[in-house]
Amino acid sequence: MADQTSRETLYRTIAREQGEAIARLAAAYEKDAVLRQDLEQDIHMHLWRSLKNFAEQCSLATWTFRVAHNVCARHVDKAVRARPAGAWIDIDDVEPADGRATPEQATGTALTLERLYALIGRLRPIDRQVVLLYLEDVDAAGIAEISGLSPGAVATRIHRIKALLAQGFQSEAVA
Amino acid sequence: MTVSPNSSSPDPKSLWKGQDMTPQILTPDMLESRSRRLDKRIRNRNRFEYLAGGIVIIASLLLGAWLLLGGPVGQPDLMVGGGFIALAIGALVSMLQLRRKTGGTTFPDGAQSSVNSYRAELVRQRDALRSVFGWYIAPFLPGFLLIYGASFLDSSAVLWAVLLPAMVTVAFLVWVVWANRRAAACIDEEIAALDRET
Repeated sequence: MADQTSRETLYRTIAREQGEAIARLAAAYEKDAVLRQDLEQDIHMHLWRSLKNFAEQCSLATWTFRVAHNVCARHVDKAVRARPAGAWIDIDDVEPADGRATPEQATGTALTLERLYALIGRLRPIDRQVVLLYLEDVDAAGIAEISGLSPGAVATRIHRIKALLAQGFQSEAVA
Repeated sequence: MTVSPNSSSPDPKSLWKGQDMTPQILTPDMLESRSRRLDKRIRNRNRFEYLAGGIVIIASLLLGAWLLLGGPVGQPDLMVGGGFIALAIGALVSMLQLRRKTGGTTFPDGAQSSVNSYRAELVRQRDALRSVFGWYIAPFLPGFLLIYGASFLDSSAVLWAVLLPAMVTVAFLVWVVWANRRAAACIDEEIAALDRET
């Protein structure tokens, strides 16, 4: 159990080292600027609360990402319940663009942040977490530890993410 | 929409991490204040639930007592009065169950992996929604049966005037069960997807 002083030290470390990642995470889970700000503050507040129980069960970065993603998952929880079956798309269902794209496609498009956000916003929470951790440069072992997915499941997803990001992606899932 | 290869695109990770973000760093005082606000919100929500349940219980008890103690009582009055008392007991049972099933707010913890934590929360919600008939509807049934049963036994009552509210009540209860089971099915699908990956 962390006392008040060490809790403040831990929080300052998180804020310094993961503050920007938390801001990007909130942006990936909430489009609305005001709600995003609220979500980001909620993540910080829950991290602060959780630090009472931090006893180095894992690294501080792992702890931070776990709490932050859990707060975000709860944030979208209502959407999970409201969505009809099949509304989420699996990362496996996102098709890379055909390498033989037409000249118009090849010259007129690029992997933009907006498209990345649009893709992330439609993924299941757990796929979303893997994509976001990958983009934050967390390695495969770290992603498996944070998420609880099997190393095989993480490796498959990362392979898929790399292909998508390298080749571009279609926004529509294949039925 | 198709996004095609473009050799001039920046590395996605650099693009992602290079976003212009100003992180909101809060002071311990601000964090404590926000934390207290959350606790207060939870307390207020619980109080509101108790207040709403309390009003139903008191109103049902008063109606039941008025019918049973208000003067000479025949069989219909006994049934209706008993029905309101049963409704009050049902509301109390339902309220306590609601507290047990959905209360006890848990907070995100970094000791568990995201999947385990997320799954546990989904299972808790799914089970509560799926069993809504047992803990939310069933406690009210004895009261409803007694009240509507008394009306059916009253030979002077107009049939449709009894039948209509009874049917509306049944339709509402069926809808509550259906809506909750549908929500549980959505959550179940999410749980199954998680289980395939761990």
